[in-house]
Amino acid sequence: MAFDVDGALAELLRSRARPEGLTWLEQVIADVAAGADPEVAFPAVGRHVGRGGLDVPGATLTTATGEVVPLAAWRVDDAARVRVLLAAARHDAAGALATAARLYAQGDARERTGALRALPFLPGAADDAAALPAVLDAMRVTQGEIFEAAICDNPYGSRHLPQLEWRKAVLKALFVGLSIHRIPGLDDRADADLAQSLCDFAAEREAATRAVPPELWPLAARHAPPGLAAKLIGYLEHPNPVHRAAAATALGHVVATDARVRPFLTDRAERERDDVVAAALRGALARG
Amino acid sequence: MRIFEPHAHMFSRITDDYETMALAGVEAILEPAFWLGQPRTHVGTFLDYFDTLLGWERYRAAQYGIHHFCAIALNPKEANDDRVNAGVIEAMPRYLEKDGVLAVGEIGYDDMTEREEKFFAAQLDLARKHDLPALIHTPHRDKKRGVQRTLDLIRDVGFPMERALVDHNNEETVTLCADTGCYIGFSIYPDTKMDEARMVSILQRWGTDRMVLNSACDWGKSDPLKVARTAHRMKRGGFPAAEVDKVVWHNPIAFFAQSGRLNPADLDARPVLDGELWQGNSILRGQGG
Repeated sequence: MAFDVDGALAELLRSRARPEGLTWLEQVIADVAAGADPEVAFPAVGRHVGRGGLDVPGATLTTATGEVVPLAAWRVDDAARVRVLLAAARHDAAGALATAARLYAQGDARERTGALRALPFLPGAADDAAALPAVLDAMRVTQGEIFEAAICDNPYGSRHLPQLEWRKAVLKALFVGLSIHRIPGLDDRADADLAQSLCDFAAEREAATRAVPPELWPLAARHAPPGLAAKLIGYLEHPNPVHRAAAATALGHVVATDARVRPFLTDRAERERDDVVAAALRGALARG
Repeated sequence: MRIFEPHAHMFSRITDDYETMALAGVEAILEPAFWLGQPRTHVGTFLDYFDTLLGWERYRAAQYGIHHFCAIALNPKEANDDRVNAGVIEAMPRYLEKDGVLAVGEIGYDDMTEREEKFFAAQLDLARKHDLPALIHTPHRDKKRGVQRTLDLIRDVGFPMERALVDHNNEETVTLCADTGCYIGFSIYPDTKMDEARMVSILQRWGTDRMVLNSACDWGKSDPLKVARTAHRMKRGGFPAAEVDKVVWHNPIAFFAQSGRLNPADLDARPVLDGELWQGNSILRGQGG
């Protein structure tokens, strides 16, 4: 049986939204499911149900095509707005993505994140790019929460962005300090062009003696440009264990094809005292 | 001292001004929609402006811990422009339902033309329909007659006087507003309209009930710290701290809370910034490959 997104959100909201707001929300959902335009209620959602964090550690939803979506960044009004758009989809399944895109275009920042977060759960999300304009718009805005809602924990954006824009999204996520591990399908879509951009980004930071986000190394190593293996071998001696672990994991991608790598992994593994790094080194050696 | 700045055109200020205002005690700003110093020729430029007030300015303010609200309106100057007036009015209902829109404004008279009156009345009607108070501009020229006509129109259309903030008052017009029950606004400017010393005299003469001060801080010569400066002047003039707080914090909150969309307790928490809710470490050690 398919995962009941609306039921799961209703259950989460029961103890987190303002009680009088829930009554209001249920009425809105009934009206919208019967054909009322959701644009009337959409702006008022936060005033009624609240705007605080949903605050359910580890909670996830599952899309119709089986993608798991973490809710760690969701707020109460996001959950309520997703329910309103699910109600709109019950009235007009074929137009649901276009409705979400319209509400995005008309919305303030909170409405926009709500509309974006609904996208992977609407009918046709797997193969209908009708709401792509909203995702592309979200990539250009400066308000971080809108970009975050479009790109992080959102399979719709990952699935429908063209490759160029998708690469730019990964780079921007790194640039603004969001974890790229929140971008669904990251490993599947990564390519040599992205790897080169990641390495250039790292070089720019290194030249400026600024911090490099370590999580870029494993992704870059999937399509390693010339010189990356040597740089990562150097990072195996980095004083920060986060960098050592990331370098070790990244070298796991090249150990089978680059004979120079294995001796350095072995050498470091013999001296490594950090458990997490040691495990990453063992994992990398096992792939050689 | 906490300041609720009830009328500031942050659109025309640089981001550093938000920080300066925050340092001076400004914790909340209401930005009314007005003109931009030059006439607009398309309805679309109004909508982009409204979206900026709702989005970008709120975001800029939040970076300095300031809550940003706004008022939406067709301003009196451009009410005279048939290229935009009807189209803006048509688009307004959607905006008046937005979170953070606490009033209709600035509306009112500028040159006291027929068109201005028509759209002033139409927007008081919109305010009533959306259950919002109204922030009302008064003319720079012929001000006394302008304020009188403003009060007459509010009364004639039956708009509740206590839900009207009649702005840009001076020594003469305050006498007209004093007994009406409306909120009485003053824009403190470096050279024009009203200054700190005159403002303190007015407060000494008329008291602090329903009195509201603002910096306006628009595209002309202006100063985003005028409320803070006037509050300081009030203290030097012998006003107790509670009276100062009433004028620069409690009065504007009481007025805009009539929208039903401003919970004073929400102002005690700073606005949530981007990405704060994501509890996961952005650096997942050794994971992902």
